[in-house]
Amino acid sequence: MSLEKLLIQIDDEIREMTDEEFARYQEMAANSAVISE
Amino acid sequence: MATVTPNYSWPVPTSTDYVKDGATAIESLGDAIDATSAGANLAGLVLIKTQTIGSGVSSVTVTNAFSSTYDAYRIVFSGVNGNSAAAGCTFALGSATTGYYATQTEASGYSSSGNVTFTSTANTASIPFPLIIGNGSGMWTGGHIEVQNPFGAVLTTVEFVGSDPRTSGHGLRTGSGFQNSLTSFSSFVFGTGSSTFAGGLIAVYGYRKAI
Repeated sequence: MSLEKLLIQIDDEIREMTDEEFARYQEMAANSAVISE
Repeated sequence: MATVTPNYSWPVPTSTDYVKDGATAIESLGDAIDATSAGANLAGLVLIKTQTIGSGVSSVTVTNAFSSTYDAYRIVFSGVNGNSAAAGCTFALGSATTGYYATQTEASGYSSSGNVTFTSTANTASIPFPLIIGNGSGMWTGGHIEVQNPFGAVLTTVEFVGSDPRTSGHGLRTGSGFQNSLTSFSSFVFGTGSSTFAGGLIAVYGYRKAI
């Protein structure tokens, strides 16, 4: 999936990511668990 | 004639009992409450909070999860699913975006010969949490993370177990890791790096450390 700005949740609040949060999301995407098939 | 309370069977007088027996009845009731309370204090896991995972979000930050009340925690993830193809999740503490070290083991039992793989990551932006979410219907998953000393200004250590419920490649995924800084954290971030969540529930428990 493309790395576009997504929604983020903080407790019960859901909103669009800020630029800083998006940068962190991209880092997290690179560290997702390895999925073997 | 004395009776008992409906939940804990504590002895209480009835309206027809003698007033002169009131002091004795109060003493009996007090002793019963004291005994029940002492037992309750021995419960090991105490629910701190729950958080429902919203649909379409890429991460969930749970605030005020950690405090000085507990040193160790269990975070349980249940009924978690996603909006796209199978994807792993991530776990991070507070706003720390570096210094995570982890190793996970995957033991796949789908093939007759089985398969075991190890994956290590060093100084990353989060811990790869191998709880595998899938595409909605029929792919609900779960797991849990044990966390030690997140609120103390010492290294935070974690051990985790995640489920992979895919019929084409299910397996057991476990691991451990730590956040390499002397930082106090009160919150954590549960994320998925290549999908979005469709729902689920997070429950945070603390291990009671004193009676």
